[in-house]
Amino acid sequence: MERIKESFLVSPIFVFFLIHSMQVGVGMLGFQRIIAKSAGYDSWISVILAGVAVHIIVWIIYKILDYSGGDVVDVHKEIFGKWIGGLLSLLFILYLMALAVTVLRSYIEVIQVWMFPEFNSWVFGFFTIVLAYYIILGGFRTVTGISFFSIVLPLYILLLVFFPLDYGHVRNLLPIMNHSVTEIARGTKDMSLSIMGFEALLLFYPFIKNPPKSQKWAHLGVLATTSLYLIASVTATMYFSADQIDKIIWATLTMFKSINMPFVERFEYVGIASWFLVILPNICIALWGAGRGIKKVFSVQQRKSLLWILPIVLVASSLIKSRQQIDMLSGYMANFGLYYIFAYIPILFIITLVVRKMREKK
Amino acid sequence: MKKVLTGIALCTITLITILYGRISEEIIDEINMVAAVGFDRAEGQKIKGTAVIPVFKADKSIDNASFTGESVLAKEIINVLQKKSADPLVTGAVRVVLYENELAKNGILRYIDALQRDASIGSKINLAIVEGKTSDVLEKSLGNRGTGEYLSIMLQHNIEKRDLPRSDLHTFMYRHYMEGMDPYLPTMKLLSNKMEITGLGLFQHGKMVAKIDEPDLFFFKALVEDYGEGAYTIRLKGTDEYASIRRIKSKRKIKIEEINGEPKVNITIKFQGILSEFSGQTTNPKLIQKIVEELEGTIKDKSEAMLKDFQEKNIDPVGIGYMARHSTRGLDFEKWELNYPNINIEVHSEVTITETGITQ
Repeated sequence: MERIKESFLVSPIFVFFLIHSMQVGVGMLGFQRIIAKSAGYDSWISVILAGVAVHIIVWIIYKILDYSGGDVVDVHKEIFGKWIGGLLSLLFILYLMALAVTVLRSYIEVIQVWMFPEFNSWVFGFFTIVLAYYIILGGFRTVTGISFFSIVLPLYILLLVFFPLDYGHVRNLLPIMNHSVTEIARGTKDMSLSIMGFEALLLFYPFIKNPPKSQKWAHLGVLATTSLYLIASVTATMYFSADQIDKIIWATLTMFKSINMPFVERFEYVGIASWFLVILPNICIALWGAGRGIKKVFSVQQRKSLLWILPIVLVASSLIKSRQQIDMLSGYMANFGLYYIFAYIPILFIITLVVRKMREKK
Repeated sequence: MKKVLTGIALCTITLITILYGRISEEIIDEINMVAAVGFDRAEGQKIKGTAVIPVFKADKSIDNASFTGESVLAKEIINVLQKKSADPLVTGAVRVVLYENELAKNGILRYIDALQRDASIGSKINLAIVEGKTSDVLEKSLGNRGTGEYLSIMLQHNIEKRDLPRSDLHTFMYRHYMEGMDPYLPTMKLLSNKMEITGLGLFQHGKMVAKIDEPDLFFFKALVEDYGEGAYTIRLKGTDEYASIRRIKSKRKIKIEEINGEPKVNITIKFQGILSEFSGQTTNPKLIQKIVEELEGTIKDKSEAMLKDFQEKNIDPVGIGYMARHSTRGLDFEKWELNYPNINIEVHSEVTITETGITQ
């Protein structure tokens, strides 16, 4: 196993920012409608349950990687051998690329619907990709820096939650647990697209200085994400009526509409612009991970692999044209992510346990 | 070699920006910002829309210019109006949308969709019903800040400080989509050079089905919102004296209990006010007590009469169904809706008069 140079490593505390910034993305702008479909005004319970599930998976990921000390590509190789392991790693790389496409295209859609309908989606995509390339070339530390700023800079948005609360009705949340357990569980399942992204940890794990120490920061990152989603979902439930939320594609952005300040008539434009900072680490970390994965599987330079990945992401995101297609893509991603995170990773964990036990016996 | 490559890359980026990265700009001096829109009925399926824009003059006074056009859809009217306007009309600054009385009776939901769907339109814009043609209102120059601003300030002030309950676009849609709750919009009338708020139009399924007159708004607001300033004058029974009470705070509690399998609704209104005017000059504790009792009785009677009326018309602007739904676990809401006209609703009121002004 190759050791990564000390100068490329990041402190354990930055795992908080990496995990948190990777989880929060465009999903935050409109996840409420999706989870409210089945869980209604009890959907905040689904958010908490999804958070708990993510905690368990983070714990599992640490268990898998603590032992091997490498990343998931090494684990695949160790357990399944060169070919099958490589194929499984490739699947993960494709998944990360698709994640970047989904995030990028969904954000462009928001700009097109809310600000500039005639906005050229591939031009914006092109510049984002160039920027991402530039950031990734700076190495993992630069990517970490971007994820740090993506949390610190838009933090002020959190204060704005008080504006829609002026229109909120606490009674909308009552009676608690009026939905059946299956409905709430379905809501939890629908959260998958919003909480996805933390599994990039599978690849950046070796870049953490003293990795086992970073576990608590990873959990804190997940906790921060869950709280943020909880705030957004509770506010939306209080602000909208049940049938209204069904019709509103971007509930969080629509709530921004009620923010009125003396110096800015309509806040959603500021919100959308700030949101670019939020999605930037999503794209950067995902593409960094994809590049890193390709480098390890095919033993090519990361810089060269990026030159293949980035154009593919750009073309893919430009090919998606309408709301239906975007919805379809996020639907597929949500499903795939769900099975990858909550089925594949635990299975991988069990397999590694068994294989390691057997090897120890030998 | 590396320098050449960097140069080519930079050139490509610049070229792409210039060629494809452009979007139409909107310079504030070169657009007409619509401040208010009104919709009237026209022949057949068509509606007539009037948009008013403020025209800022060099001497700092504000003039109004209005455009009128017809179409079947609300947003489409703006496109029709573009042909009549030199600068492009933009809807981002719309503050008030008016609907004609008769149009409201036929249903305004299909015209509200445009407001909801359009990202550029704020969710805090005020909606109102005009008794008469909205074009008559918008073609007039009202106030000195432009007609749109005048209407918006007028509604906003009456909502924040007087007896009008909140009725902006978001609240209207919220109440429309909420089960067990019906929306309402203020009704206005044009009086030669001014507007007057005449009451509240009550909606069901997007159609205006009833109206509350202005004097009853004081009691209605206490039923639907917790905080409401306002003033009401009562006549003391058996005397010729009048007392005007200014409301400071009011709090409502809606409790649903079940008696012998039948639901019973208890509404308690806690009311805190000050005496702002009394025709009998001086007051004493006994008199205050009398005023309190009188007011308590009036609140109870007026509110109950209003609720009875709502039940007869099978509308629920107070949101009693909503309260029942969200306070009773596993309520059979369909049964509740069927039963609604016959449900026993009782109003209790607790009035406290805290001060009598700076004189006794």
